[in-house]
Amino acid sequence: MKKKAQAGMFEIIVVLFVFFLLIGFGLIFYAGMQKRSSTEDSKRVLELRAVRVAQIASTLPELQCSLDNAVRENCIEVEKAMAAKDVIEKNIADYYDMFGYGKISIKGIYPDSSLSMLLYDFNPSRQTYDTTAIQIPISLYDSVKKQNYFGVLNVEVYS
Amino acid sequence: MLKFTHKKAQMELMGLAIVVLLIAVGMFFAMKYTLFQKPPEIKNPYMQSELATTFVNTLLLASTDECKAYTTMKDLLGDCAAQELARQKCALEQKYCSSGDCKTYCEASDKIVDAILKDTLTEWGKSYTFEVYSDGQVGNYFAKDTCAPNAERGKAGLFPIPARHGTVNVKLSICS
Repeated sequence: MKKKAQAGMFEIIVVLFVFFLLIGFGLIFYAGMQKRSSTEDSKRVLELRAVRVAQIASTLPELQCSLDNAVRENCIEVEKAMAAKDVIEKNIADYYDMFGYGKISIKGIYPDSSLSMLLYDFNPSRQTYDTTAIQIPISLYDSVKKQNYFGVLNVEVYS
Repeated sequence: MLKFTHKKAQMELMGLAIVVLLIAVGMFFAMKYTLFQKPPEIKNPYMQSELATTFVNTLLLASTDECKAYTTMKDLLGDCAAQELARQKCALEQKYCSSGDCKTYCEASDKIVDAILKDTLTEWGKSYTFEVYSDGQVGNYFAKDTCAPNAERGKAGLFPIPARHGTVNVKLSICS
């Protein structure tokens, strides 16, 4: 009788042990999944922010090409950009509201690959936890030579 | 009697263990197929399509000094098509010479597009298919393809250029 009871107790203990072991594995696994999912979510948010900053930068009146008050999309005027660079630097706090922590620059690809300009750079702590960059093809218009260059708008955002 | 009781208890224990094992395996498969399922991709195809469209738009507006007569890549590509058509009709090797370097308009366009693609899409690690062709024409004037054979192509950036003899199409697709 005693042995039967002991066997029964032992059986219950083993079952409970295995049950809680499985629960434990499940919890560890779920925690790992949640951590990975939240990392992916924050990366996605950062990418969307980069796209938003790029869209704002490419449509800034300080940079945008225009002819007879008609705005040309997806175009940055080189002479305007040279002037805007100083304006942005002097009013960095105002532009921080639009762009946040990040870096915006333009680079010429063809026919003039020497053209390169840093328009905005704000990361005072010089420490970045996460960063993402996107590149957008853009026309760089030289109003003096009346030529369009194939250029790239580089946008980096930091979190 | 005692032996039979022992065996019965052991069999019961084994049965429980098997049930628990089956439940564990079932939970594992359920988690694998529900939690690991990727949500449908929306952002990436849209970004690829936008990049392709923006790239071709910017390319066609770019000024070129490859040949003095031309102002933009759009004009150069249009005359690449016209020259090819004339060459096919008359079987002539028509070349132009700019600063001592003789080439056809298509060769010049190819060289420029190649240089731009190398400094942009290739450097950004993107695979693409770039084609310049006319409606009704068999084959391309020139084309570049760095996509893997089974790669999924995003929505293409397609720009038609009206030319004397017909429409020249410039098409770029980014592959994932």
